Amino acid sequence: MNNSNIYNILPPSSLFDIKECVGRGNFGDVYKAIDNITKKYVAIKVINLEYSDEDIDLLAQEIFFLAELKSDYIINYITTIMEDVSMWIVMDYCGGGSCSDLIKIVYPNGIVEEKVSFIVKNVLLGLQYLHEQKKIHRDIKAANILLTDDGQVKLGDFGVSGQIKATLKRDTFVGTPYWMAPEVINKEINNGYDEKVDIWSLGITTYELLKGVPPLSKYDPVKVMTSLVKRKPPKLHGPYNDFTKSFISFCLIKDPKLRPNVQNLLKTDFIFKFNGKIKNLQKDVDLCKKIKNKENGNFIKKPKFPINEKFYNTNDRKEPKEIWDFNTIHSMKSIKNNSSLISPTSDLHSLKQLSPISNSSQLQNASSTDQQFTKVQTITPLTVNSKSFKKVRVLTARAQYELGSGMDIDTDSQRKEQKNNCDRIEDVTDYNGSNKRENVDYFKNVICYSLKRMNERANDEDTKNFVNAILYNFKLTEAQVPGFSEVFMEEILLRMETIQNYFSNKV
Amino acid sequence: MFKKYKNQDLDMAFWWKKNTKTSSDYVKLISDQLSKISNSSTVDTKRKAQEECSKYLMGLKHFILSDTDPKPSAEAIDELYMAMHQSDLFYDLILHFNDLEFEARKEVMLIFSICLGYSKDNKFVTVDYFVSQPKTINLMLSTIEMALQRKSSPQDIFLVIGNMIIECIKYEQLCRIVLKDPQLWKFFEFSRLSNFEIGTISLQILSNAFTVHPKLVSREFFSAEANTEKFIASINKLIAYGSYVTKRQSTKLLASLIIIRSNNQLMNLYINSPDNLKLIMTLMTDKSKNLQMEAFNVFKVMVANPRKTKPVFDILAKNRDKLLKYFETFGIDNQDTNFLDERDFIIQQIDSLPRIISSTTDGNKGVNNTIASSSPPSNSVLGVQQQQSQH
Repeated sequence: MNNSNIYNILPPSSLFDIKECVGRGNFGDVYKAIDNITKKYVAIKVINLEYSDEDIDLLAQEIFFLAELKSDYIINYITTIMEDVSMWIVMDYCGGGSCSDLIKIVYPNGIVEEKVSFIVKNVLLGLQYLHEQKKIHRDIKAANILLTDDGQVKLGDFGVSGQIKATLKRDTFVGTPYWMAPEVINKEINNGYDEKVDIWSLGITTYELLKGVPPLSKYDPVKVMTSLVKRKPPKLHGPYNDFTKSFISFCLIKDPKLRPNVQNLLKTDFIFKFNGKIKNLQKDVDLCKKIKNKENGNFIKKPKFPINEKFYNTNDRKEPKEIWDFNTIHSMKSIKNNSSLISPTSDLHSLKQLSPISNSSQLQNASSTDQQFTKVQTITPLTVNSKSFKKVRVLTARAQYELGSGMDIDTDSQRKEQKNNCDRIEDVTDYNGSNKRENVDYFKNVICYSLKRMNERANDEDTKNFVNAILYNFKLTEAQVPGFSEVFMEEILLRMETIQNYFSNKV
Repeated sequence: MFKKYKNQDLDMAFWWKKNTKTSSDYVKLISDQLSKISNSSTVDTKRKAQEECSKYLMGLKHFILSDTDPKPSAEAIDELYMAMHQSDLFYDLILHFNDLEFEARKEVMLIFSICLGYSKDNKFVTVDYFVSQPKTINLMLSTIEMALQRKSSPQDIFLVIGNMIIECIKYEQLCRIVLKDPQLWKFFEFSRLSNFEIGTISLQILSNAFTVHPKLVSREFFSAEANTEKFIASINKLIAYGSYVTKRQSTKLLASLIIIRSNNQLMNLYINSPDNLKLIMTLMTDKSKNLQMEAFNVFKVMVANPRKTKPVFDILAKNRDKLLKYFETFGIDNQDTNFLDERDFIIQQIDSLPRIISSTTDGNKGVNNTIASSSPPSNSVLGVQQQQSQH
């Protein structure tokens, strides 16, 4: 976590080496990646916010929730970064997959009691951490119990987890049917629920780990859910220790007030009798990986959204960035209706609105840092008295996406199209002199002036000569291409502004 | 009994359960540890005080949640609240927030929100206390800024205090304190910070502060024109320069605020400015459908306004044909009937605007240039059609 500032300085693509896609969900794709700073494997959940219906505030809540968890028994959250229109949630990588994978791939008939006890103890320790802070996981099941490469158990997937705050009760209907506690389904009981719902789900999960499936799994989930309130709690049958059976029935006490808490469960024989016999599930994880590789190559999944396709492509100049006409109405004529509305006086009015000197009222109050904003908002259309240059229309709010923009020189004599950089400059209107409002001679007052100063600052004759050569070239060019200096200066300023914005965003 | 807490080997759980008779002791113990933290000369003594503080906070939490055995009496709980208020415990805790352990800060947050929600005789006692002693809320608003100076993980403190501020905002009287604190404006700047957690929670704080109690906001915040002007300038900056997420969320906030009837001061000031219109129209041409939709929710109010200012009217009139073209495809796959009604209404409004053209010579050049610069077909079509419709 100490490095977390670094994650915000560099672009995400240089921070992480994306390997394969290891998971796919409605929310987005999960990638295995290498953190280039720590050289560790991480899991990155990539959520495309433009194409998914995920509510940003809810996602942020989930992230804030994760950021507050620091425990050995819970999957560690590293950071979240925005890349293009996607949210990258970076977490520790659990290379061993989930306990559900372990069942499916290695132990379809269930895992032995000893190992289940180890898994459940670790889940209890994770829950102890959560419940102490009045947080509920709300979706405990084998699929959300993750295993690291070295066979350690971590609680994962906090997608529906919640904080019980002042009311100390929740009433949102979340979870997965077979694992849900009766009080989640029937809100009338107890009016709302608390952290005890996790204990019920843990009981079901213990059953699932031992048997390979949760109780009543052959029935329709909705029916199981609706009948849960009426029927007796499920029971574990078969060749298991009595303390294992009683652990499950202990968890599956229907009245949440009578149901034990984490501390009680940690003291049961089921946890106690096997305690310390197993240190990790490394062998099982290795076995699981081996079978996975044999069965279907690398378990690589096809992502829902290709990660390399950017929504805002900085090189993509084909997209018209600006289609509106925000020019002064000066050279415009009204054809028919309301011609009285557009009188010379109103022309003046709208002119004033556009000039950089007359900031509109709400902008005048802005502090000095607002300058860049006012600049962009009230930028004057270029006053070039030349047919040689296109007017830059795209002084839009999106300047930060335009770090790659260039200049399009289009002279009368020869057509020097500098690539398609300026395709975004659409329906360009050349300017006639009548529009000129400011009498700054950019060649004389800016270029000549600055180069003269450079000449004075030059240390030796050679340098002075180079400066003079530049000045001479400018003079020639300006004579050939009137307005060259102005466009040149404008491009410099635009670029500087973009860079400034870029850095002010990064600070 | 009292001296015992200095014994480091003491089993705390045992200790707390034994000492339920004077609940105000918890408060004193924590205050003592806090002053120890600031007065400690060595790293070791400081760490010890920090650890002690964490333990006592956990004990206090158990007590206030009645998670102790035996459960504390109602009198003991009352006494505890009184002691917390009298000693300004929360003020002290926030003051030392930087020095608390990661888990301890979360204990403070939990205790804080439990206290806010605690009512006796239909009175929120802690809320009332903060109303009479607003310095704690003010301190939270400035402490959160100080968190940004931390070299490592500034978001840790920022998130915890941010969540506490959001808790406060739920109570109207405390939201008033937040709205009156000039520090609130800083959150517009924090919203643009590149740290995802910090930027996002800052915008959530603003969003909560301005939307949870709409009457309070219109009566006491937007009633001052200076506030409204500053608000517009600040939110425009987020809309113009924010990240993708910031743009979406800030435009959404603006749209939700200007349609509230009681916020007419804000609405009038916003929709009458041509600069705002330009900003919103620019956003409507963003590639993102989500941003377009958020922008439309502001744009529709500007178009629907029966008394448009001249500059706003001019911009709309000048772009009449382009706007009509734009709305031919805008929201085409949206089935929401409310939206469709609104869109139809807006199209009608735009259609009824006067037609204006640029002078013919300029126009012709425009067409030539458009074709010459190998622009995408859709736009040259737009340009040509526009010319044709004008001739």
